[in-house]
Amino acid sequence: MRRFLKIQAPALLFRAVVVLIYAFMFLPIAIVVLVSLNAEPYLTLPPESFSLRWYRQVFTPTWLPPLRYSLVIAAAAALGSGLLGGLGAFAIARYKFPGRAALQAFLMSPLSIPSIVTGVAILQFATMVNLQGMLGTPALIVGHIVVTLPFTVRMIGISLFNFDRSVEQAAANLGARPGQVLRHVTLPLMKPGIFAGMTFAFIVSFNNVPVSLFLVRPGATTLPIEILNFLQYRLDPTLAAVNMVSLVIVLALVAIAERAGGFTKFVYGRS
Amino acid sequence: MAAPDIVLRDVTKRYRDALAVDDLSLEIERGEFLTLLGPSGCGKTTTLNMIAGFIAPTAGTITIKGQPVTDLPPFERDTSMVFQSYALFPHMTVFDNVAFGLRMRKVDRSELRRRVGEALESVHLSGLEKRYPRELSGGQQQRVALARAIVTRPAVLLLDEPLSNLDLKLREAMRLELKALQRDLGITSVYVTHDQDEALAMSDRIAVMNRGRVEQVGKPEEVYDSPSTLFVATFVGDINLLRGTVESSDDEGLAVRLAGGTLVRTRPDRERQRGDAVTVAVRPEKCVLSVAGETEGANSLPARVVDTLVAGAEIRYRLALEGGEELVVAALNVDTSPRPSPGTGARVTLPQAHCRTFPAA
Amino acid sequence: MGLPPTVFLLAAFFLPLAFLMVLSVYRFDAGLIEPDVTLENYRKFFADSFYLAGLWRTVRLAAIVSLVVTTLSYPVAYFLTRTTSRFKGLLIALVLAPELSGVVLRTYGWIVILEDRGLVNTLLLDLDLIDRPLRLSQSFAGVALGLTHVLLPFAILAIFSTLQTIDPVLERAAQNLGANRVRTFFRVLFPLSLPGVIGAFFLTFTISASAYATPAILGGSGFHVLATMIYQQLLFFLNWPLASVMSLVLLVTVLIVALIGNRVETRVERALQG
Repeated sequence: MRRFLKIQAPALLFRAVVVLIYAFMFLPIAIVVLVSLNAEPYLTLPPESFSLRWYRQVFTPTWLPPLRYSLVIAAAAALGSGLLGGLGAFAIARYKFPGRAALQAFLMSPLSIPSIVTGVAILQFATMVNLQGMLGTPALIVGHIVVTLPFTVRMIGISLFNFDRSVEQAAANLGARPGQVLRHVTLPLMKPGIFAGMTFAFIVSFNNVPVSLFLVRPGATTLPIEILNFLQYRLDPTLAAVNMVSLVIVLALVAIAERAGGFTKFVYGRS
Repeated sequence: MAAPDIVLRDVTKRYRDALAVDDLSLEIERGEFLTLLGPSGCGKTTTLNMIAGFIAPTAGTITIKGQPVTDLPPFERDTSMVFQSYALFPHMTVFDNVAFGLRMRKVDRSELRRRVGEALESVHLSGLEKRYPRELSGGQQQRVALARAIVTRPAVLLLDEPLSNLDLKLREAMRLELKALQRDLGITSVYVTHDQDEALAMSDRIAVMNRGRVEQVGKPEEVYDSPSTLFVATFVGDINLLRGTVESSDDEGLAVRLAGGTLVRTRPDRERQRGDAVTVAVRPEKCVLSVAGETEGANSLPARVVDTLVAGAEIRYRLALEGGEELVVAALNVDTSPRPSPGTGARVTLPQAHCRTFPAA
Repeated sequence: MGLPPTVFLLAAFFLPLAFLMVLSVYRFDAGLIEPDVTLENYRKFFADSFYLAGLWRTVRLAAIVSLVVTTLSYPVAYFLTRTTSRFKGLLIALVLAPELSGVVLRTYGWIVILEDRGLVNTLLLDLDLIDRPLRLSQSFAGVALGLTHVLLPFAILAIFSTLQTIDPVLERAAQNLGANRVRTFFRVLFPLSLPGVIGAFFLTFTISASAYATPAILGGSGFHVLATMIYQQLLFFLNWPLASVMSLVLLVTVLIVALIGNRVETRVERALQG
């Protein structure tokens, strides 16, 4: 009894609190899952019958174009962000030059500006300097690269800081020229970080609201903005199904990235 | 005689798939300095942590000063621990670190100042009260950890490899200082180490542990001179091991035929019988080296010098017996001892009283 | 090598930001933007109680949400730090998982739970605990709840990464010296984890001050924070100079808060290290 009160009870209480917070984190997601599978338009707990009818609505001309558009934008943004972020991370990690710390701070700066301000600024700039033609796809990609760049720089940076420089020296010692060292040693070792960074950039872009909000054009809308527009007027269970489809896409990507060399460790890792 | 200060009875700690401590029983007397000695993973630190209350035993009971403490949390046990990493609070000054335990016990201010002062004085750190741990050397941090542990005048002092992070010279000096302090305070202490020299130099008694079990408990000289198992013999100090088969056994001793054909006579051992496969163990410094052709007595065997190593006060000779077995002989590095050079013949005498037998591993 | 990303950010990010500042001092007259330098837009924002209330609501919401989030995050972060479970990696991934699902999905989930005919109200009505549905969505509380949910993973990871650097043996040492759990927490663990806690608080503050989707959906059309006001000015009233002013107010607020956070964190860190 004494042992229970002094040692086990506080531990149990603590565990209960943690479980509750985890439950809170998954509550809305679980609800969306239920709504999307519920046969009735209104959710009752427990649901009386299940159906896939809302999912069939996803694959119609209402939702397929924005879904496809979001995938294209996210892929382009991930590619651009991975390329620019990789160059930036490499410069920071590998070259000693005055202002190295400043470059790092500079490349991370979009993180400290509210994304919505970034979106507004790009919209106003493109409009006022007569670059309206850039609005829509090009502006979206550029805006998404801006907000994802800090993540790719950081995650690729982790992969660069974490590996032992002496393997490069070993390669050079074995006769590899700088280009060969890069191709056969450095890049393969950086690959997990590049892959994780690009995956993260893809997800951030795919789910992005505050930048897309201002840069989409009527008729070519990304999925989150389309859902948001619907959400302001009606609560259609199709929205739940659409959300689930996009979540499954993201989870599949994460699973692939995790397999390919780790994803989570780059997200919470420190360089 | 007073009851022992610490009693461990049938203590077992089982993790998911491993037995860390296996049915361990041990009694530690008041004022005694007992060392748990063993290789890493032998369960010695787990045992110490169970005494402190950081780990709950799976089975068994622990009693401190007659009080059952098995179900008490660490903060209600009258033990103080000196941690291997010192575990000094980085955000507190030396004074606050040492005062921590007294504050938890709500000791009043003037008393607290006095006792912290005394504790720091006893570890020769007076004047460093306002420093932070990171401003101290490793040796000084170690002393703060010690002062913090003794200032509360605990019933039991627990030391978890406290000297392992110091360099060799400092470590040897601290052994003596720590032991003197412990004796002055008369505090019951349990010391964990994997360093046999430390254990032999400091302990009143040593409990040699292996795979969660105590193999032998005894005074340092008992453990060293009369190891009860092959593990104790090899873990505490250097020892030569020779494999063979018992040819005869009587009250005078055993006759063991080594694999290479040489016959060695060992101490009597009733548990060995004719035909048993055994390991003969003899310490290098007990063997006597002489020049080839000298008197042939009992266990005086012809050998060849393979190589020699001068290790300061000692010279270590690696010898090969005629049957091929190798053994090491340690001789004092003095002018009077013979110094055969590598490649030459010699004789080695294995004193029968120092040749012990164990079941072949 | 650093050149391409630098040039890109200058052109695609800093140039537009500079332009935003310029636009904020242009005259807005009868739906037209005139390149005359004026402080009229700033005067309009700071003289109008509607806009000021929006700013105040933004700050209040962010302060409350980040306080709640930081408090809720601590136990989870501590649990993740100390757990010896073989599923530790999975448990960390589970914290990240809601973050992957995007803010829109989660907001949708909260509407289903909170709306007038939602799960909570239905349950309470069925139990006869209330006569009329509670106004859970379309309210400050609803927005705060939604934001709390969005920001938990950020705060948990921020605190987790600091807690990981604290040697668990320090807690043992405190307990060994007679400190019970509560005292061990307040005298040893909490002071040492303060940099992470402060970091988490200010990080979540800046993110929730800039949030758009959650207040727009869970707050309803009458609920205004800076982000939703910017959207309105920009796309409905087409008053771009005023939208620029609001964006700058939001930007400066966030930067000031982040700066204070950095200061406090550095100072605490220095104090901890003596």
